[in-house]
Amino acid sequence: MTLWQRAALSLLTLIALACGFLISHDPEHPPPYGIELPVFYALFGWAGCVAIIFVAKALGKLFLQKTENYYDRA
Amino acid sequence: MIALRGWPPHAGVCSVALPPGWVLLLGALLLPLMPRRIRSAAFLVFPILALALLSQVPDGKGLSVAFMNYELVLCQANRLSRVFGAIFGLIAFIGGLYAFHVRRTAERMAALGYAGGALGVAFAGDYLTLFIHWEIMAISSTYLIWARETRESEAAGVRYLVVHLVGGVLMLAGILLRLHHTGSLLLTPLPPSTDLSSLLILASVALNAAVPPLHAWLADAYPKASVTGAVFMSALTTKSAVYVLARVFPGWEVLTLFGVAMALYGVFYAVLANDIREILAYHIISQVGYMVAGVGMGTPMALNGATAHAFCHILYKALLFMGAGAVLHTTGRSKLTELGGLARAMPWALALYMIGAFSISGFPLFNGFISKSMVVAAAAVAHRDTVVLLLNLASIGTFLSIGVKLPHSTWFGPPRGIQPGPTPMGMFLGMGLAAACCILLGVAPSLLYQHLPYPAHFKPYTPAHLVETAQLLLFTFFGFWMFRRYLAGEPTVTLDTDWFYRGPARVVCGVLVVSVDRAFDLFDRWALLIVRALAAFARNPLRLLPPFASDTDYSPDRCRPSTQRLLACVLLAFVLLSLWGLYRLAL
Repeated sequence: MTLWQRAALSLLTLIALACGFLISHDPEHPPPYGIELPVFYALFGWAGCVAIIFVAKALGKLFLQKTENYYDRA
Repeated sequence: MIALRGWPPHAGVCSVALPPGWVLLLGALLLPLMPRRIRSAAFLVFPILALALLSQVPDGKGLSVAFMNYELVLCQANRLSRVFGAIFGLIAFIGGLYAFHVRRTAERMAALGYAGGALGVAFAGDYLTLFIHWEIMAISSTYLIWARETRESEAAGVRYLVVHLVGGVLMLAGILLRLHHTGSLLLTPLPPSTDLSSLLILASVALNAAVPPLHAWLADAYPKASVTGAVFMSALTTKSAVYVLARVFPGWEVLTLFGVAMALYGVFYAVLANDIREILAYHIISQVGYMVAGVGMGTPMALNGATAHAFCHILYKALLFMGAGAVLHTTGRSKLTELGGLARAMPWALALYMIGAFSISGFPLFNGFISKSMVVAAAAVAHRDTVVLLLNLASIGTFLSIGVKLPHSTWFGPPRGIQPGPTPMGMFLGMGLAAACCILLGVAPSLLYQHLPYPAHFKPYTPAHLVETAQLLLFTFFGFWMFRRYLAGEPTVTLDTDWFYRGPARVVCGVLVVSVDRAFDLFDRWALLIVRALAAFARNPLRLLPPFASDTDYSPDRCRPSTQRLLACVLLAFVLLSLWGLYRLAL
């Protein structure tokens, strides 16, 4: 990533996090389980992404992924 | 609308609405009769005519005919069928534009027939009409897989056809059972129950909607379909099934559970997939999960959300398949492990693909944002917090695979010295039109909301929703960037539920095909032996009568007159007997 891309991304992130503190939930987007955490979706986004990567890869290595000619051999 | 006098026979003057799908089916039949040079352009005329006809079809029963003792409603329109019919017609036009360079008439016919089948489903007013169009879709779409003309596509097409024929049999069994119990074929919503006929129909529709574990045909076949065929396939089969679910099974709670499960299922499998069209295929399953969940919740807002999401999904998913197809068409490659560094060579394809990627990921100002969020909001309003969280988790996975992993590996990955060929102009036009629709609906959602089945008061552009989306997408990107080395493509296949029938397929083929073949072969040989023995016997039948047996004295010419007389007597006796029988009957 170039410097200006990093800068733009950082600025956007700061705005998104700051707005989390400034803006209250509306009725059609209530906080899940009543968790009033301004950065909830930031944490959820990062943790969800990491969980998807590692759970999928673990299942793949465990038994799901086979060599490309798996069905031809069978 | 066409006014016909005295038809159907029981009516006086009536107004008849022709099913819009028939225009496309007729087009499929007319296309090969046209001069070869105008077929590409003619293809585009039929969806326009169908859309024009669609706008004229009145609400309610438009065309019904008597079939045996039952009423068949060949065309019945309502707000739901109009939305689905409109998008099926529009995508047939966009797909035709994208496939303008295709020279195979059979592929074009299959695509038109397929879209005609989908439109027929959207306007069917009874189960039999629905079933017939359902099967037209199954057969014509199979050809779009075979049109790729590779060994893999041939085998995948056979698997696809068998699975869909099984689905068709399930539906027919359910329809016949229902007919037996209710005496009616009319397409009406079925209340949640454990009635066998309803469950059979549900299983068949769930198979076409690719609800796990009945989904494997999709990820198996779509990546192996022809470049242009996959665009039609990504739009029609699963979404016509979503239409039937919304029409017949709204409020079936089990669908919420399966919808959420499939939204996540597709996401996890897409992480493991290596073929770019397989990644997109798994994300069809994931996105259809939102629609199925919306239908399961059954509230007006959820059904609106499912309908809006189907509409938007068809546009951006077709765009994504067109982008991936452009890569495959110009490079001959579709695997992440073989692609990379195409951004400079294909900047327009990348830009148009990214519009689809932003749309599916739910970026503000793109159409996924205004439709996906309606389903999630419907769950939030109904205080289904777990559903909200899990659908948001699926959304994270969507952006991860489609928004960053796929373009990162295909366009920005390490260059592999690929020199892509030229991209046909039609491909750009098709992608451009789909991309324009994605942005238009994202910017002006009311264009879609005003046509939804129920009055829509949903406002997607609220500060809270924008902040949530921004946080979710930004931090998903950070997660990807930190662990992107784990997401590089791997030259593997991923086992899915098709393992259960692809493994034993050899045994089943042995029992049902090879053994039957051998049995016929054996009977053939026996029949020949018998025929040879009879031929030898016919040379001298007297051999069987020991007093007259002689190998040398027998002459057929000598025996012929007496045999003729004998046969004439037998025939005369038979004629006399018949006349006597007729005389007795007449008395």
